[in-house]
Amino acid sequence: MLKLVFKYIFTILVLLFLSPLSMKAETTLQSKVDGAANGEKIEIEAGVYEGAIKIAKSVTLSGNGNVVLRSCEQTPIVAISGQAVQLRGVTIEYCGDESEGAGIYISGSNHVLEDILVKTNHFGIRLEDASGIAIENSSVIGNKNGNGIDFWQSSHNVVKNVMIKNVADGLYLERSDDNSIISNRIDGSRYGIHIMYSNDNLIEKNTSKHNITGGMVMEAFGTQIRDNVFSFNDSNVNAQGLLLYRAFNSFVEGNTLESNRLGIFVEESEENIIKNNKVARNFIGFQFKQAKKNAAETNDFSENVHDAQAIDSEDNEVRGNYWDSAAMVDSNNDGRSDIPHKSDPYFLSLTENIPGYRLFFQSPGLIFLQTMLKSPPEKLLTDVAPLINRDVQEINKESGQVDMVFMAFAMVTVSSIIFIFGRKRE
Amino acid sequence: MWTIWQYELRMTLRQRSFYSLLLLWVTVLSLLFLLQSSTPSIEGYTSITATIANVALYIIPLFMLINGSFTVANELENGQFRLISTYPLSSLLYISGKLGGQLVAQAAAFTMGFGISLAIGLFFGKGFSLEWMWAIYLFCIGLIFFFLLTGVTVGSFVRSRWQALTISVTIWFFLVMIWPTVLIGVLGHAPYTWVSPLMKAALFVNPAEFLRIILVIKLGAGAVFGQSYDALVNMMEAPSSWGVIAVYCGGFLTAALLLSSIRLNRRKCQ
Repeated sequence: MLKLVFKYIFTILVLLFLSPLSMKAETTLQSKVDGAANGEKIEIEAGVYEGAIKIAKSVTLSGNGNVVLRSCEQTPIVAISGQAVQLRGVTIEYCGDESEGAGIYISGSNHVLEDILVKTNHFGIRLEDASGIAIENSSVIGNKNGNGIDFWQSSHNVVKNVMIKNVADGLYLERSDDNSIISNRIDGSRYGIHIMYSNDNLIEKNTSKHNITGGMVMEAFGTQIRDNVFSFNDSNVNAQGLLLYRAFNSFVEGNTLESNRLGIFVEESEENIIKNNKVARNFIGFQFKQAKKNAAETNDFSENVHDAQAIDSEDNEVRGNYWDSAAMVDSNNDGRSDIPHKSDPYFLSLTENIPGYRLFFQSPGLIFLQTMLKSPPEKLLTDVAPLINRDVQEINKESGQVDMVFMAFAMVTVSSIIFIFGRKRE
Repeated sequence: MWTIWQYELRMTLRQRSFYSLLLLWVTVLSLLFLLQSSTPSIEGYTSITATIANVALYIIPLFMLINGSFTVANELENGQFRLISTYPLSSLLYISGKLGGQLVAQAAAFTMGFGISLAIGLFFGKGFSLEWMWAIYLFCIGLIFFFLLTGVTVGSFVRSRWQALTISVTIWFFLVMIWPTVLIGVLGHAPYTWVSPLMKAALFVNPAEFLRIILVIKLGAGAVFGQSYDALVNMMEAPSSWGVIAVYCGGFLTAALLLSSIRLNRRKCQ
């Protein structure tokens, strides 16, 4: 019996000895921060620090080597307030079960976060009443439980070059104005970029792929959405590349919306301008629903299974877009087709009331029915002067389709053999 | 059965008119593959895929129904069936042989057409994804299978080739062209909550729709059907869906063959 107890204690001692040294963040880091003067630079030595710290004075903390701050408590691991705090080169691991818990919590102004990796069980980085914050060259990896970077009443901030994966909403902005979201990449999350009750934000050059929805703007004025890529948001029944819901005066330009279930969906939104976007290979390219006074110009719609549809929408200006499905005649050589391109909303209105009929999507019989029951002209989504030639033309021909050549050869050979032997008399 | 099978295959392959069908496949498929010169590569569920699937749905079922029903109706009409009836050969084996011979001949013609069109497409610098190619190919072979089967069954019920033609066209028009119209009309009288379950049931009644839905799901576009079919899409995305498809094919085959052989047995007695 005694032997067993000794053996047990010995094992524990060995395990303790072998495990990496972890230090208490409260005693080591926190005391350094507390002891520092304003503007002082603190280097954190490599190692694992357990627990949470608070930074309320303008100091610079930078990790020297592999610095990990870890905590499973309710409080955020790093809570930043005050002014001009800088945090660089650390890894934050939040393993707590608190549903509002976060890796980093930020309030105050003019802080800089750079080269940060946040692994979190809930939220990644939370901004509350923060302004002038810059978060750059960082990553947030989550567990689908909370948002990657969450803004609440925080304005004039910049998030740039941040990679966000596997969270609820990649970037979530609520009651936060004039922020710049630039060159970030969001994958495997619910909404890539989600803007609610926030005005005049800039969304530029971001890539949002394999999410339920690439970007969503709701109850917002003056959002600028430029040169982003919203692609492969196609696996959920409510998936789409970009959704504008009750969005006003937005400017959507130069984005690529590719292989989504629905490319751009504009619902109950007014006076938005949608221009020069590339909308390709989506199951449905473009959809208006109860949308008014929006403009869609010079966009490139190609290879969408169903290019566009609109219901209960009026006074929208759709002109000069390129539609690969359009019949085009240009008699006066102005680069615009003389034949308006019309999209019948029959399928959309049919399935709006009874979603069960969505199984008929692109069924040959339904196309037949749609041609018979033409909707009245005022219900059609009409591009009055479709573009004849598309501006952008990217040709990246795949070379070396050896497997396909082999398949074609095999098919011809096998069937030839059947032909030859089948024709023979015994 | 193997004699009938071989005879059927030989007779079909020796007809000159049979090769016009091959010509048709080459023409239609090549044109479809070359449809969009701006697209470097064909893959996934895009407008080109939808167009190809729909053209296939328009022509393959019609041709296969006519071919299938004619091959049986012809022998009934010219008395060859009476002659064969004098041999100790069961109707089931007779009809299976007929179907088998036609199936191999038609599938070979289509495969040849598909292969040539693929080569033409590749020659003109088109790219194809392997997965996409298999999906479309199997979809068309599936259509050939189901509609030849239906055609042969129709053939054993009719009195003349003329009747065979009329019924074939009717079935094609019903299953392909006005299927949604009929369902929307009928389901309009059903309670709202019954629509999706009845639509799912109807899917298994119409092999054309069944194959089309599987094609769309296998190309990763099942989300387009919406919430009501989420469970169905998930089921069909899983590898086990091939089991469901196999059972469906087997069930359809058994039912059709039994039905036509019973009918032919009665005819023998007349």
